[in-house]
Amino acid sequence: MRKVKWIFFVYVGIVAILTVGLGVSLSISQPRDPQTLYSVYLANLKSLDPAVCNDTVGSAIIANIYECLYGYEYPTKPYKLIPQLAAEMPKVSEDGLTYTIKLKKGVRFYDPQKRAFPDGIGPEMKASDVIHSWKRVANFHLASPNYSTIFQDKIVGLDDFYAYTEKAPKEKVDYDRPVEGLKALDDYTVEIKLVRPAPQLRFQLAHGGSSVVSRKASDLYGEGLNKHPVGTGPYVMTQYLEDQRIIFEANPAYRGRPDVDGFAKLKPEDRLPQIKRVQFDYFREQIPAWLLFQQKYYDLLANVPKESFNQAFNPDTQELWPEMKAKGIKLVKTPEASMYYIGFNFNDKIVGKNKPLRQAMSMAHNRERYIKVYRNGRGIAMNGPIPPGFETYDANYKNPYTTFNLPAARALMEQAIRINGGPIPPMTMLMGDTDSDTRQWAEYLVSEWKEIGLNIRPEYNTWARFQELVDARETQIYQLGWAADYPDEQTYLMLFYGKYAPVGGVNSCAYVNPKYDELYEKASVMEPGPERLKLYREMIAIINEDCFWIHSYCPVRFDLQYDWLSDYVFMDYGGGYRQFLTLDVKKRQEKMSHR
Amino acid sequence: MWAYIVRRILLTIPTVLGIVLLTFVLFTLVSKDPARAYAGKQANETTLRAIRHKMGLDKKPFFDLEGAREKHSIKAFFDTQFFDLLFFRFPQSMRYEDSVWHLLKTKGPVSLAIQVPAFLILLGLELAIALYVANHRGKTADVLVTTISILGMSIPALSIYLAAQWFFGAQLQIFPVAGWEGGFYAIQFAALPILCVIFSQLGWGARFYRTVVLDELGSDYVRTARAKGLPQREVMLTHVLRNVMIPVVTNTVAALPFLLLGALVLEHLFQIPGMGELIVQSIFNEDRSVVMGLVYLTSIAYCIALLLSDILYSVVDPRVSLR
Amino acid sequence: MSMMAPSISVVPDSDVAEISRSLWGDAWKRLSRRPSAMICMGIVAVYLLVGLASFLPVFDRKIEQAVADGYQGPSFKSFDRLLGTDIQGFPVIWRLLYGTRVALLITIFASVLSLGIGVTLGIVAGYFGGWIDDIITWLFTTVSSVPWILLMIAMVYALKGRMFPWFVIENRRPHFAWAEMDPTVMIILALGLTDWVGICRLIRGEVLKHRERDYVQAARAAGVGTGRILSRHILPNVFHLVIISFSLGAVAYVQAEVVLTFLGLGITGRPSWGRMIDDAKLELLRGVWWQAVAATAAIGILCLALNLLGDALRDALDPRLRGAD
Repeated sequence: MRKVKWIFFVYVGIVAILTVGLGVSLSISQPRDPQTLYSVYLANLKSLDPAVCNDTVGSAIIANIYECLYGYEYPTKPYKLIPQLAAEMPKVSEDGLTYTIKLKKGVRFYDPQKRAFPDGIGPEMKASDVIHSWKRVANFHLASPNYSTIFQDKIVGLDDFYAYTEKAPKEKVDYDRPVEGLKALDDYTVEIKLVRPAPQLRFQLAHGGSSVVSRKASDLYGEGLNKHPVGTGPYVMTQYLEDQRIIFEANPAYRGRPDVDGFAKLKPEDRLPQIKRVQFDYFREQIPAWLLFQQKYYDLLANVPKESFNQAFNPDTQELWPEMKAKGIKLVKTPEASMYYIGFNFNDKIVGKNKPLRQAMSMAHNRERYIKVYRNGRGIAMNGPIPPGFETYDANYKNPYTTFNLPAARALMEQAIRINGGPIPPMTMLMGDTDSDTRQWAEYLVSEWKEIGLNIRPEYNTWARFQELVDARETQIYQLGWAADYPDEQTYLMLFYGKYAPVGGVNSCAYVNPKYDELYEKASVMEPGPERLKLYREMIAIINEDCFWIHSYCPVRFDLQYDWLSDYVFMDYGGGYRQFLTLDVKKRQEKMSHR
Repeated sequence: MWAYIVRRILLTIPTVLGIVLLTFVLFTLVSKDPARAYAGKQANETTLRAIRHKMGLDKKPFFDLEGAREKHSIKAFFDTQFFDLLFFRFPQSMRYEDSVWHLLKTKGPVSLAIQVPAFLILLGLELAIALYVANHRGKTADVLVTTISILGMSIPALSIYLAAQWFFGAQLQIFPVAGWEGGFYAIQFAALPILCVIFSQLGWGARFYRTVVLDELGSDYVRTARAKGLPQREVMLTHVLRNVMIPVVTNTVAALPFLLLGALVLEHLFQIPGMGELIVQSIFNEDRSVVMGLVYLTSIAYCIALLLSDILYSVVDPRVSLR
Repeated sequence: MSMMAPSISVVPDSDVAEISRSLWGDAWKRLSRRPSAMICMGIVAVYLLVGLASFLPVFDRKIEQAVADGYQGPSFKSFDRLLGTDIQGFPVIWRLLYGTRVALLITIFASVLSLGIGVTLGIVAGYFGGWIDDIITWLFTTVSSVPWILLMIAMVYALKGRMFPWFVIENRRPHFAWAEMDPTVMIILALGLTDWVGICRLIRGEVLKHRERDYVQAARAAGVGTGRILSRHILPNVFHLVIISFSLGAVAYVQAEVVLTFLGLGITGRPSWGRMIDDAKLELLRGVWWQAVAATAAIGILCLALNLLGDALRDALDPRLRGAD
């Protein structure tokens, strides 16, 4: 009996303590630092090692810590490439094969862990660090997806270095092994020798994968660099709780602005970053983030969840409701440099050989209705493969095949049936996800195509399986999107190049057209200019006519922020840019107090 | 008793081997190549090869004769996927770029912070309800509890969680809708999930312990105690409760691995960065080494917990023999 | 033993049938005296009928016929809008009814699979004993050591995205082809191949007892073939366990579908109750409750009926298994 009583009391005690703790915890709100910018991130991060990281969210996060040789001027659009760690734009030789790049002086690394360098402030960045960073990307054991996108088959001798690392054991990779195409002429000059001219290289040297890491830090941390970034950028990471929180603080060794060198004398008020501390909280779903944003816990939010759209915006005008504006919320709309499409497989017996069929399916797709009903109007109907923001994009262009026109589509279907030699059999459309958005997207398309007498079955796959099928060209119809890597149409036009059509290449519709290939080969080694633009336009016309993509829509971001924050402009390339924001601390405190 | 314990331990060995085999067959022989999930949109064969190497997928499945010959070492002969699994050498997680053990260390405590309080509160409530109801058999309270518990068992747990999240989180705004915070503020975020666990499992537990208590009430010693003239309260709290403790303790031991595993659905819905969410995310991201590692470790842990529970049972209750 | 003439059977088969018939008759009598059991049976029968009816092509058409332009609350004005519409304007009522098709497919086939495996292995292990018993015991101990939900997940995870030789009908010409497994088939396999342990253990224990009973000994002495003993003598005597397991297993399967779908491993191509609840997880926070409530009610009522029916069946068929109530 006594024992039972004892157990009972302990039990009641535990429950009481928990309840009291809960009460206390609920009544004390978490302390908030008035100087901190609070924001959210919505995708899980794989790696913070710039050599390995290739996802959009991760790249945007680490772009605050690391810098590339080149970057994009904020907030200029159309995008303008500027030297960042490089002192000037590259000097290209006559034949376009040798690039000579001067580096800024006095740029220093900083390690918030104070392990790589005793007081945190590291040595000056030298040409050897730059070359080391790129060799790291070409290390087989790091398994970097950036190697194939940035460096493979481009720089003299780097592919041999890759082959060497594959043979060498992981611990014994010798980074001092020379690579012919990567040379430090002196401490502040890098020389790159190319296998063939590559006018897009300057953009790729602004890609996060080519960020410069400290040789000393990378030797010390090894693969651990993915949790302990050591960079030259405006911020350093002081806390990282996976799937939970990232905290950035201003880098004490930062030179002040991206465009000056380390010895520049800047007035304190000109020095960036203005906001000394940034907190990113992780959310997997948008809805909780949106609820907390409304309670002013967060200063800015990337997108409003679809389900809550009407709560924030007037669905007819797509503008904020007056009461949202009264709260001090501002809306910034930005079309993204990406687009979604439905692709056809060139090798398929039915769709590959039947142009009227593809055109009819494209014409039966009511892009405007889809954007309105399923995306709450957050999109732009595409009239070609190139989204807004590129030079060749023309909003007023009327492409007959991207205009919703059922009678014309039905007329084309008659032709299609004739070409097919009989009615079109049921077809399958591959989708790259199984979530409800994807299912709704597929069901919408299927119902549209039913209108022109087609029977199409959606098949849902995991992303990995989907990629496998697309890469193996084992698809008939598939749905995919493409985000531009740099502000040059080439990032889209290469997707139709015949050399990339075989299994595994990026030409996922396996499209082969000798005329197109000829134009592409000519344009791909050309420096920017009106001549190249003309070639680009010709190529786009071919793509539109052959209709291997049903160009669907370009997503438009609806960024929300409170008015105590200076305008945040979303940039498609480069990422980061948090250092340019300013925070009106007083205004925020006032607004927060009468929440 | 010692003979029994030794025999019971020996009998666990083939089961553990069976688990190794099962995990290995499912994850290595049947499941597909996970490398592609990480490769991203422009991955080519070169990248895939490197990723496979990093994940240890280019190793031989069982024995590596070539490698042993090449390197002249017997160690290389066993440097294969099967033995990696057997000796807990899981490949590193591709999503977190971290070892499975380290993930266990960081995510485990989060799950425990929800599961342990929930389990304790639940156990107390279940026993209290069971004792009360068994004492008032056939009366309104009994019927009510039995009906509600069957109802609770019939409604999907997910629906209960959704309703609780909507009501307490979004409508009343007492608790945060989702998320997690370390340290002291954890209580605030753990409260709603704990409530959810209690809501969804109380029915089953109360019903289970009610049956146990009723079984005990029907036994001879209770009748003797009553005949002796002991008051009902005394009988319940000393005699019955002590005997009910045997299934309670054995159940608890068997539940331990599940406490660590957390509740997959619950953690996923409330975005709690614990073990359950880790498994779910690893499935979504095709992070095979984590899914494999956790299935394997949990099964082994469960096996050991069952062994302990059996041994404990035999210590507590001398009537038990092996069959 | 099999050399002996089978005609001298001590216990004629007809007698066994007689005994079991009266057992079933008794059970039915006991069951029919409980009105709650009869109501539950009626509910299950209604679900079964709806499930069978949902194979009609009209359902395939109705679930993808928009009756509104987006979310629309329930209204009594028309049958299509009785339970409101989802984000695409599709009628929830039809999708709910269609969901019984998936539920029916899963419960029936998964039960057949798991009970088939469990009963066969259980009888074989219990009857033959020896090393066969050792192997089967080892098998189910191993399988039961992996927590059920994890094993199920591992199974779906492993099967998902794999190619299997598959019987397909293309252009009215049936042939074998490599194809991916339909998610419904995958769930059925995952459930069936993991859930046989419980029934196997139960049957094995029961057969162990029956093996030593007089009538089995007598049949064996009389030279009745092993197969015949197992199918005509042993199986009828343990069959009531199968019935009870079936009704309780169905509850687990319907709920497992919800969990698997929520974890992204479940039904994709067609509406199911799990999918409706999964869709509702975000809708609910903005006040769209009808999908979640409808699907929860559909599952809740079915499982409640099955749970109560299972209890009643256990009481009626096997009083020894009955709890203290």
